[in-house]
Amino acid sequence: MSDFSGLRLALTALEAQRRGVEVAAQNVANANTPGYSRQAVNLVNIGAPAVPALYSTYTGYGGGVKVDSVTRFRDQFMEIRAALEHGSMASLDQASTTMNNVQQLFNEPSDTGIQSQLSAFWSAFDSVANDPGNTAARTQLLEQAGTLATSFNSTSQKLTQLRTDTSSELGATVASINSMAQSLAQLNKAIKANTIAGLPVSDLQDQRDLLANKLAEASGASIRSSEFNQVDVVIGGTALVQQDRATSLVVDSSGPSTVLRWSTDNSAAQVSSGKAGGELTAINATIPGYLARLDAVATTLRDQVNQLHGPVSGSIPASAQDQSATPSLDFQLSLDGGGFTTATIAGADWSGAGGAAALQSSLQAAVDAAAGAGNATVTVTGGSGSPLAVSLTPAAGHTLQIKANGNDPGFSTLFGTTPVGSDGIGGRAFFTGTDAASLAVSPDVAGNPAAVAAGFAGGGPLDGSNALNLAELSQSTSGADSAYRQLIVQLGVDTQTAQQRSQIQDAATKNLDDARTQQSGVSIDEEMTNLVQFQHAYDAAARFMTVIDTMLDTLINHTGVTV
Amino acid sequence: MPSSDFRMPNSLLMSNSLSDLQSVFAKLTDLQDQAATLKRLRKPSDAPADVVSAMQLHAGINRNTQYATNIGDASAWLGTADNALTSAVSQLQRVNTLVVQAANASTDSNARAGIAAEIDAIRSTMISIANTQYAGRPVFAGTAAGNVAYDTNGNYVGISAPVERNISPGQRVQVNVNGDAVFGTPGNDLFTTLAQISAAVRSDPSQLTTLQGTLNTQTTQVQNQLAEVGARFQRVSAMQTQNSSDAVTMKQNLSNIEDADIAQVMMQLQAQQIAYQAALEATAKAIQPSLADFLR
Repeated sequence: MSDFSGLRLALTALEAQRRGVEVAAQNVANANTPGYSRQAVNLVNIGAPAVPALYSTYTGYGGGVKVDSVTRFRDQFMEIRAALEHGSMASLDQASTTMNNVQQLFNEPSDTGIQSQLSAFWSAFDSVANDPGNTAARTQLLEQAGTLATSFNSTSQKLTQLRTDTSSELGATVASINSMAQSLAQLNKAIKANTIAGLPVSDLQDQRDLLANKLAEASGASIRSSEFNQVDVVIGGTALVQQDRATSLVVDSSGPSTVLRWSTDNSAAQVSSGKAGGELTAINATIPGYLARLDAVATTLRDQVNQLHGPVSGSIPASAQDQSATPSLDFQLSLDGGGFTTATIAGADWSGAGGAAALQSSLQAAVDAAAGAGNATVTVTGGSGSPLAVSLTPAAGHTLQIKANGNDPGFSTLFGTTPVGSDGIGGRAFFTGTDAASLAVSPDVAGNPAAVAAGFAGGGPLDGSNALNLAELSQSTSGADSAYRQLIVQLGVDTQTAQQRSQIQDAATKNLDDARTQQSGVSIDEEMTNLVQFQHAYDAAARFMTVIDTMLDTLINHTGVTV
Repeated sequence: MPSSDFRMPNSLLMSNSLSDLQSVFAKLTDLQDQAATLKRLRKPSDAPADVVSAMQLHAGINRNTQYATNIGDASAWLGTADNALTSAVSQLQRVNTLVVQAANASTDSNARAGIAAEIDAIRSTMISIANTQYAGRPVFAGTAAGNVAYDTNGNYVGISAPVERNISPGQRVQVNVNGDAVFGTPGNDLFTTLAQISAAVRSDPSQLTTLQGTLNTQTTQVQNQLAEVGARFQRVSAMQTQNSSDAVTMKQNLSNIEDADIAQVMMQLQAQQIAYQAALEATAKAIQPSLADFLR
């Protein structure tokens, strides 16, 4: 044991304590750095040699202290769980945002939503019924119908726009996933090289873990530990990042539903969580679902109104079935909005058995002659003491308008229950369109107040009874109003559920994040304590060095010296 | 140094304080919104079932308002018909008296000419009664488009058909009376009878007994129609009362569902404001000091 070994021992102490102060300073400096894990020096005392050399001597006390390593406080398993929770939080947040957007664009309950428009529309029919001769009431009805159709159009269009916006957001999300995957692979590569070289990797790992977490949040990927401190990022069983190699995802919106594909082999990527997963659900399920529901409301409205407004039908009571005294019964037909041509059948006695069949065949022949064969079908049922039910249906893709031929009673006799406008023409549809986006007041009716079929062919010029029927559609339990309310209740429940699930997941994720922060976060108090602790140890080691110095001074300068 | 002890790193303290403040502030904002709009329901997700009830009530109230308009119109139509028929009956009673007078053997031809002139005058009054209009529409003309139900000669030009109004969900009331139902089918109508009576008074009083029988039958018909109009008028009046009370009930229900309880909201708002201030103060105290402040 050398006389000078005490100095060496003091030196190791000074160095170790200084390192401790530096680490505390690093921790304090990064107290607010996202993703930073606090570090600590691991000190070990320098003791006896593990395998004593031959003839070596050992005095029994230690040789000082050394810094074994600087470790970071981070639990890799917690990181893996955090990735899952963050992925599912991002997906649920996206679902909640989507539902909120959908809810906002429906704008209910309000005085301007579709519900109020419907109420006003039905009331307008009552106004026409109360005063069928008043053109103003009819014009107002058409205005109201136009506004209602526009409300359907714009709501549908806003939903489609929301889907388009979400699609472009998905594009951005996927682009950021791909770039993060590249960065992560590079960090993995550096970590591997440093680990092999025995260099510290804590700070690189912190950066990498932060990135992995963001990647999981965006893509719903899971994280797996790999060799040399690296991590793999896996989506649905396929690696997005494997050690230092990253693949990429592409958005495929060519099919009916949007999917993400692997750029390597074009197979579908199973992205069901994360922001991207949430966006896919919005694009493929949530928004189209509400579009379909809105379409169903629009078509219900169209069908119910048209069913009362547009049919060509008649009901001939038993008392009027013997028309043998009438030489001919005339009416006029117009196919697809063309000019009117007169159809005529000879009056006959249709009251007996077989009357229905006879009337059907002569009517069919007359209609074929006037509107062309195959363009419309006549059906007659009943008779033999009960009323004859007559109906005339245009073939698919055709419209058929019908009116009286001058003062000839043929139209009102044969097709008395046909709703007609104040111009006497029946057979017009009120609404056209195949879905909410294309719902419109039919061109036959739009801008033509006289075309509103307020009454029936057999009912006189000021008959408003069909408008009464139309107004009462507001009370229909299978009508547009109730279908729309069902849509809104569904919307409310879905939004509420999405919000609650997102809140629950937020809380769970926050708990986990708190646990991570608790382990990895920097506490200033703690670092101050460490600082004081190392400072005191440093002071003491310096003091120790002074003592050795004094001892050596005594030994060298004062021992054996005679004064 | 690594330990499983509970650590409170500064960033955790910050994030916890922030999220606590945020949740208190979110509740405060919601209450302020309720207090400002005085509505409890602002979007479907606030309470889906209640929102739908509220929408249903809104639609119901709108519909009910339209029914009230319809009922008002129906009541005016029936009132007009009722007045017209009442005066028609009194005119017919006067004719009856005149016929009895004319049939009396002591009445001479001059006096009969006078009676006949009065009956002619009553006939034209009756025609104008039959052409009574409401809002420009003759109430006895059915669904015909013209201005009159009977022309100047007493010929029916109306189209007999019911004119109806929606007065409550699924309920309609006929608001018109068809001319032929009141005054008799063409050829067998009151105006023909009155003309025949006038002719008989002038030249052939012996026919008066038969004609008086016909007149009585036709007067009864008018009275029957008057009774029916009265009954319908009653029904419409009852519906009017029902309609107003429905409106009140629905508005009350809507308010119960949709409106915020002001007292409750204000109390909660006050409490939440205090909670928010407390949270702010607590946070301010907690995040300020660290050990660094106390080391020299």
